Amino acid sequence: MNEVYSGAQERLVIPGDTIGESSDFTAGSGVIKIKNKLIATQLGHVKENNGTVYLLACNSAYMPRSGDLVIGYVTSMRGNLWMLNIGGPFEALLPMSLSPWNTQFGDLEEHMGVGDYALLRVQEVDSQHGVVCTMKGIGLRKITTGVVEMIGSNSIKLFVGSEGTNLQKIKKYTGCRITVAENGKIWIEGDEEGISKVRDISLDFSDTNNPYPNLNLKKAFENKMEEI
Amino acid sequence: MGGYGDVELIAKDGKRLDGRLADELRPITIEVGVLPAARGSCRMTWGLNIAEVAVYGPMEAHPRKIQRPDRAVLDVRYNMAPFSTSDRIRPGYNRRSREISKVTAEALESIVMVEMFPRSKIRVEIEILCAEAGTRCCGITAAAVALADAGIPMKDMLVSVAAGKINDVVVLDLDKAEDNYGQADLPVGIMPNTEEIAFLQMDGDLSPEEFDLAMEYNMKAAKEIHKLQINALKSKYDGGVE
Repeated sequence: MNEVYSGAQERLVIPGDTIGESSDFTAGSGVIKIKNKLIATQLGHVKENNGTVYLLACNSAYMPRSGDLVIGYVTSMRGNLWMLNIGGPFEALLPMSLSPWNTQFGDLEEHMGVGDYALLRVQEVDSQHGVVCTMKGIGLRKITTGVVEMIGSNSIKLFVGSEGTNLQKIKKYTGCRITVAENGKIWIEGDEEGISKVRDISLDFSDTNNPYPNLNLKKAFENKMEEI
Repeated sequence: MGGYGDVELIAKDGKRLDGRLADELRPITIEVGVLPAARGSCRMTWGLNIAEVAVYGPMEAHPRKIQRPDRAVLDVRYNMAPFSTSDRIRPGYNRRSREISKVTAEALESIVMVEMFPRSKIRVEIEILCAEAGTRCCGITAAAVALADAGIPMKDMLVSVAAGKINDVVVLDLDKAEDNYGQADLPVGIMPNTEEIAFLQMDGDLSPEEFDLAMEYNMKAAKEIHKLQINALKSKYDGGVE
């Protein structure tokens, strides 16, 4: 077992740190190769999988990928498309043709206006990072009930749990319908008491000064899961 | 640089007015994640300097005319608070803050992987709360930490530090009196792992030998400050991982 692999689980690196030699490993996400050395480009934990060294970044921005389920809100409109903020570096477009409504040119506001939330799927991300979303698909819709909370894209894995165990537990405990989007937002539908319970559980994730992955946050969340 | 060479800034025992030796830094502290609303933030004290830096983004660049099709734009704003010095500073942008903002943006562009976020903008706000010479170095060093805290991909960290000349002696990290009455000032931005220079400015005159010595001091100090940057970042994210 070599140095990179043995230290992979617990090692925290910062940008510019040398992770190891590139002769045995390929550079994955958050890692670049400079002069036969693997260099970390983000603050994160080193991991290794099948010969690829990558970083589990702390506090990184959400980068949209084709097929992602996302929750966004309308920021502006053109004659034939909506512009939405999905929490990424670039605004997403929802063309009239990919909406579930039979809309006429210029009549977009009848269905969805500035500030309205929607559940969408990323259809395409082009080389210039232009993001096109669709609302045609099962479950995709304009959000008119419940609340939307932010837990951060890095925390989704922990919140959902292995094979969705944590999410099922939370749903059962609160009686709410919860939709988790890959851009770190969750849509909670239910009665006021249930929504407040979900908010209590997800409160730790919204603390930007204590972002996941963080051992304290993980322990606090696991304790909450045991209690419910 | 006031250029008043007759002001005694170094005692006969080689110590400076504040008791430091020629190659000694002022005390430095770095704190990460001090501004909850920002994606990344840092508070740095360097001697009597206090700088707070907030990083937002990457986000859609507005107005659209500033967008670049192949890379992100670093929108850096350096500002000194009106109460940061004994003479009240008129609030708002001035020629000096514009120059430092530009220099800082160009220095940070050499470490940030801007090509990963075409058409977007990364906003870096540097606010100097207390000033005592060397605020640009303090701001740039803190900005690099805040960018790392925000999860912005970077090739290396960046440390900025200045050396200079007072009473014909090359010294590291000039304080206010030394900056006002010294003979030269040489602030540089150094990538500590590769030892590349991201920016270099010089005010006053240095001979080639003095320049080499000043760069030697700067390089040594950059390594020390880099360790402080590492400790500050690791102390925030010291937890394990799933």
